[in-house]
Amino acid sequence: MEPADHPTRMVTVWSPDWPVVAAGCDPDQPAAVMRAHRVVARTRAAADEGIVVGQRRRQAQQRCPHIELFDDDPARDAREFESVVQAVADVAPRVDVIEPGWLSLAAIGPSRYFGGDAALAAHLHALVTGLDSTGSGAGVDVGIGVADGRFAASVAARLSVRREQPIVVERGGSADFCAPLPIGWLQTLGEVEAELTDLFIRLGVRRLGDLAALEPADVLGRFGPIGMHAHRLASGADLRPPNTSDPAPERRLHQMLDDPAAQSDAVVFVAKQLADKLAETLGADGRVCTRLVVLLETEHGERSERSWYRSAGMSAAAMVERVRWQLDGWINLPRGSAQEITGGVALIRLTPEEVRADDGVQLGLWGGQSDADRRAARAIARLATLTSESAVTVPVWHGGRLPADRYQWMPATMVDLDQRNRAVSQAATGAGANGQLGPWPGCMPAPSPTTVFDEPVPLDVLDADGQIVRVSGRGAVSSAPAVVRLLLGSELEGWRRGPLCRVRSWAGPWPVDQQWWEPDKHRRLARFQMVVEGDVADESAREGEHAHLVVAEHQKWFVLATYG
Amino acid sequence: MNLAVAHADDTQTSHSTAAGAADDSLREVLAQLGEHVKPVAMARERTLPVAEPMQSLFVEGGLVRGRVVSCQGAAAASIANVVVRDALVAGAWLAVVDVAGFGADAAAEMGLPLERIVRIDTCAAGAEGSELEWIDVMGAAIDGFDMVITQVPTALCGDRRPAAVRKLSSRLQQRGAVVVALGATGALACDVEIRTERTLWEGLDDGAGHLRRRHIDITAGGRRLPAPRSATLCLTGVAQQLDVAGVERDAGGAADVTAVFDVGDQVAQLAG
Repeated sequence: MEPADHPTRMVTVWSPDWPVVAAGCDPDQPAAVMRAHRVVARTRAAADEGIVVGQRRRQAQQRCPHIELFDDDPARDAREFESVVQAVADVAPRVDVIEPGWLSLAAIGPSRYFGGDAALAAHLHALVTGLDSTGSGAGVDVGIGVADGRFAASVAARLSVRREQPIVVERGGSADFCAPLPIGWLQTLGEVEAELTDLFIRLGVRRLGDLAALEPADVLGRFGPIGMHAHRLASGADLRPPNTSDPAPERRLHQMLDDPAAQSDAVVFVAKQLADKLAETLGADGRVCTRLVVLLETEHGERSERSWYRSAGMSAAAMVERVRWQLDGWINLPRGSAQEITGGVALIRLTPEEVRADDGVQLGLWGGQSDADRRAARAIARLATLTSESAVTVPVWHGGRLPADRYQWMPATMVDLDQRNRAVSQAATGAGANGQLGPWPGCMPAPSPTTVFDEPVPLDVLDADGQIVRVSGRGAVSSAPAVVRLLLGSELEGWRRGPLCRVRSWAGPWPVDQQWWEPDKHRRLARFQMVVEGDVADESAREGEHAHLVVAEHQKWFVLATYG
Repeated sequence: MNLAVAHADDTQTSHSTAAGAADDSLREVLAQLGEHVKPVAMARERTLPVAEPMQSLFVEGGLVRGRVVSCQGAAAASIANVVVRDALVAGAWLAVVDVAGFGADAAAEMGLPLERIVRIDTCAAGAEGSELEWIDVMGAAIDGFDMVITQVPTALCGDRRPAAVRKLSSRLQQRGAVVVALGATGALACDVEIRTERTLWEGLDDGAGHLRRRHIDITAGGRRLPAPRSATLCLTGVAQQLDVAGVERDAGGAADVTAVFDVGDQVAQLAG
């Protein structure tokens, strides 16, 4: 069969805003899941209040003050999605999970069994909406689309959420179905970059039909392979680009563990080695895996087999992430399920089901991995085993007015180091798109302190008469600071007074009164910068200037950071 | 020497058609020979780039791989950031081993790419880590990263020089990383020592202004430098970017500061 003429008929199941469902939110209560202070998913009730995806935290809170906010957790999403995958896998042999909340399967077999595409879609809809996966009592919002090709089916599934009924596109009707839709769908489904759709729109190609009407050769000549890919999707001739092929069976990699691994970290570690090897051998052929089947088997013979799909191709890190999701979902199956895990994992097998020529979709001209990047990735894995996973950390922009809040140090194994560039480089400009300081008015201007204490160090700030300096509620200083004295020791042992150091110059107070709406997180403090003679902690060092960031909070003084 | 190897290679290819078994052993011998006669890489050829004002402090004009640089004094952390900056911008990775409270903000302002910085803490916050663990972690970090900023544990700062540390030093030579130590290097012998002589902050008054610019006089010494050298760094904060300007003290005159600082802008931010 020529795939270009007859794309395989696919069913796509898509649950909008899966992260809020996984977080266990009631759809009738406004709630949202945030990543880097932006909304990534929200409930129906929140949508009614005007919360949209991509909105900033503050805007969301402004529109809907009583909204409940959750942190993003892809592992939780994958874990909760496992029950949906299980339910669908009971009626269909091979389910491709694209990401948590989004799966697809070939329609032919199940559709014949259930008596037609419409019947299959209705059955799946009833199956998934009936699931009480999160225990919240409410069903899961779900869209189901049936069409020729994965792209058209995915679009149909997303549209079907709005129409609240499954959409079945007639056989051979994918092109007509796609034609009137805006070109932005290509970007929404992650098939092409935003720049390309933007370019299409500026060129007047506003609908998928406009793109499909162009000559394929012209599209290839002007936009290259990625434009050709978009053209194929728009003309409903997708599923597999012409350069995909089934890899030879010897590509599959497996590892028997003589000593079954009872810890998920150990399994992931082995999977990482396999994934590195697989990505390397495929890469040596100039290929990348788009569909990966992960099989895990325990010493007692329970199996978990899942097929993962990613149109852009999977790097080794992406493969490991999917193994981790699968394992997480498996471990957290409710007791008494058919394939409940009872022993250590003894076999891990990674099978690339579908590969295609790696034409550099995911790596830009400057985005390639250097030798140093690969060496560092290996060293990170080794260091994580030497110490612990939580001891090896990388900075992720978080934002805040106090130095300790601005970056979070996340375990390196939890962060996809390839994708992290975006999150961090945003921070280099202060998270503002326009080069401004971004959403943190009132934060301290550059330069920033080089040493940020994990635990603020208490100290006494005295005026010229030896009295402790106080800051009033209105931000007025009782008298000018003249001398500081560090308090050494700890609260348990009792504080010892350190040497006296003269304050050469100072500035402040800059008051911060933040998060007054949350009693647990409310902080009210006044910041000072002080240049002090000599090292406050070391009596012998009387020379030199040391600058510190000092705060007064609840009439107590602390050193938060040092400009070393 | 190179010519001799090339000649040997020719004879080897002619032999390989004749005997396959002899081929392998010959190849092995040749590999050993090649190791012996390979051209010696001079120190100045194995360098990582270093920021402009610092170049005058290093004889080779860059950071020589396999060396230990110690930064000391009040501005040690800032100096360490300046030392590693250009190598990181050029694509190297940085491991920060056991440095309490490494300021990511300051690093970002200095121009360090944060996506290539990894922090490793051998001990839980507050607790004293064992020095053996530090040695293990350093060994792994040297293997994988080109630059390592660390604080040598106090237990290794005595006169004792354990065998494990000597091994670490030779591994460092072999792998070609550069270790930047904050404070004393102790048992890990230090090649270049950069000491803060004097720091001068600008911008603070009694109760007004904010920290803006900083002049740091530094002196480099140590066993790899024939004579101590000194320089002045001027770190200026403009729109969250620190400009590093340096002037050799021998040239005379104060630091030539050209960067314009918009005070009104920053004050507006504070007020907001």
